[in-house]
Amino acid sequence: MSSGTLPPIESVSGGSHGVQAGYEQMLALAERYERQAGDFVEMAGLGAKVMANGDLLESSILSPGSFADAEVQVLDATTGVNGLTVRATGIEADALAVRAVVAAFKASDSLSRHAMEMLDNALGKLLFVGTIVTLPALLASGGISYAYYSTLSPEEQEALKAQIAENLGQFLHDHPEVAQHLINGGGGLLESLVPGLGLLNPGDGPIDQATTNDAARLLALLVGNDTDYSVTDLGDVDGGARATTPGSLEQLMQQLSATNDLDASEADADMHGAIQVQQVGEKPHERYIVYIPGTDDMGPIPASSDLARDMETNYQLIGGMDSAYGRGIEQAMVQAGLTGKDVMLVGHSQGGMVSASLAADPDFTRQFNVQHVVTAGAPTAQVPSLPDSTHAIHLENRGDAVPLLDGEDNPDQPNRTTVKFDEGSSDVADNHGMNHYTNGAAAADASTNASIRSEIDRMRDDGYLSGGASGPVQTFVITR
Amino acid sequence: MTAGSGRLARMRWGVGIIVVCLAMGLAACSNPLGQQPSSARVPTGCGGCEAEIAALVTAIEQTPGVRAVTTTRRTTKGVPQAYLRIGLSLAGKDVGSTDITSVVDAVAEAAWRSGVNPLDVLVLEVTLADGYREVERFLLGADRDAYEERWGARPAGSEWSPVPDEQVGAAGCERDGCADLMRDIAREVARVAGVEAVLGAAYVSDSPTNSSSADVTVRTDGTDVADAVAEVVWRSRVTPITLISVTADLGDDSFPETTTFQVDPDIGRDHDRLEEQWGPRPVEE
Repeated sequence: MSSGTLPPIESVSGGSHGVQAGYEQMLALAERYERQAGDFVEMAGLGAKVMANGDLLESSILSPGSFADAEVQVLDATTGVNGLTVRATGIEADALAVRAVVAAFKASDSLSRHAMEMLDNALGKLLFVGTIVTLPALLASGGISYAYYSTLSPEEQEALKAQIAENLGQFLHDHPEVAQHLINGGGGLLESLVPGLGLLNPGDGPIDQATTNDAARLLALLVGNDTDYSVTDLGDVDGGARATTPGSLEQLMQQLSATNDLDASEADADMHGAIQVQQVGEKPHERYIVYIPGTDDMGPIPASSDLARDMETNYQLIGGMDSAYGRGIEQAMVQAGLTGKDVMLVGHSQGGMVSASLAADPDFTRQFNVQHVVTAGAPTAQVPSLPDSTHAIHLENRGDAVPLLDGEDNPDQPNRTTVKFDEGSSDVADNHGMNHYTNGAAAADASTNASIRSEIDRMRDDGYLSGGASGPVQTFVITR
Repeated sequence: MTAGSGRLARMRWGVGIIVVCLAMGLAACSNPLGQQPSSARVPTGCGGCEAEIAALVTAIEQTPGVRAVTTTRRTTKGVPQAYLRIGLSLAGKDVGSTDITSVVDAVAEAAWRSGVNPLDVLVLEVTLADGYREVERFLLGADRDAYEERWGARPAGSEWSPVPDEQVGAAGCERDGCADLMRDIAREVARVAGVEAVLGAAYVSDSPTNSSSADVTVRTDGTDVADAVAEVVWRSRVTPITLISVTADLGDDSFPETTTFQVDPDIGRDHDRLEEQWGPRPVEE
């Protein structure tokens, strides 16, 4: 709980009340229409059968007038202008219309996404061309700026750097969509930088051009694309997540934060790569929460090639590739005895990326029944679809650059809810902190939004947010 | 500029560079190929050092004030330096009445004089009878000169791993967690009305995934002590801190309640209110 008020929730997309869920409900309605129309057609056939009934025909001699009247009524009700056949045709047409509307909406969404991808790709290429064209001017102005900068005192230089960083941070907070489009243009820019290399084309995105994911994949290849891992079982350690089952999304984040703090000091390098596995409920009906923290080394050039949670893993995950961290988590879960068990994956930053990636991996889900995924401050759009049996909630703080690194909005799936809240400031690094996501989770707990409520209620029904004492918490360290 | 704000500034630029890297896809942002694992620079020494650690445990268990050695963990692979982590259960009842400093110093000296080689970083995880827990870190390699002056040279043949840049660059609480200052806070918090026991007082460094904070965990009688505990931290010399976090445990199976105060002078929304309430912090923020 923060000492102040909860951050406002800016938007909720996807989930049980999202657009995709609406499409599915409309299609279900169309199906019902069609079934109804089918029933009507079948019932209309009864009219002819009734009139052809032998006993009825024989009795017509006794009262030819009323028989003729009945015949007219029955045929009118079944095959007449207001009869079942005509009505069935109308309902069938309604069903077709509903399907056509859904198809049109989907096509519009797809077209819009294609158009946006093309625009972003072109923007990236334009940036390259623009940079080349304006290079002399850029160099000249850069030289003048540097000359001015060098005349400043060290304190003034620090202040200027801080001011620029703050301005950039404020811009990012105020216009996250611009940063997202800029990142999405990364593929186009890279295509311009390495023309003819054939490394990127054709892209794997919705357009036949290089995308952000392709750019990330290339970066992963350049840094070695290493997936070798090592897992050390530390058993039950002091510190980290406590042996108490969380009772809310906020407490789930507090547990993740505690796992994250296992390597709280520069002197705790031996705990880098630590994840924790909490048993919830009694055996043999227990389930497990896996707490997966994020990046330890944020430098674009990994400082230590031993760390599994570095930029190489980030490039791999955005590029949709296997990573040492992901493989290590899978092995740790096997070692912890989670094979065949119900699990919830909870991850921050890179931990959220790898959670989504593992939940969509058939090899992983063959071993573990991933019921829930909770991500905080993680780009997840690079995972286009999660299985229907997996429910995910994605928390994103406005002004946090990290969730934007996928270059796209999260996919709208009925089982996938994205919650954007605003506890951001001009400090980009601070906006990514676990403390903000704990507060954002508290805001989600308090929200009445139907998609959010549905996800949290489901977590509670599945026993992950039951509160009270829990089973043991095991700790594993994953390194390369 | 403090070390913390320096790290924060580096992180800001780091995040900026990542955005630019992904936006621009610059191959220049990539890693030089063929990098060796940093743990390859850790001397082999006695490796896992099972026999040496067993001898050290025996020595530690004879140290006055130590009830038991609960765990030991030796790490030389996947890390830039050689680590030894020791869990210590002390005989003391609580943080207010126990001289933790002299016990952990004696244990650290025993480790310094032991045959565990190399030994660059010693981490002691201390627990007391009432559940109080703290972690004390000794950067033996980085602060080698100071320790040699204090305890003399390590046993002949002892080796050292290169000191990582992160330890050289870090200063103050960012470097070693300020165990002494945090322990002082714990002792003062123990006297706050409504606090039945202090269960922990830890400094958390700034990292890519969280801001620097001073975290205090207490067991209470149900009284709301968050403000009073936060005031103790506010008046301390622990720095840099972006957050003060107070966790109140009722001692049952319920999930403890955590209250955070955002105290960074530039972006912390609680800073001005707390400064008005308690005056300026005694250290440069």
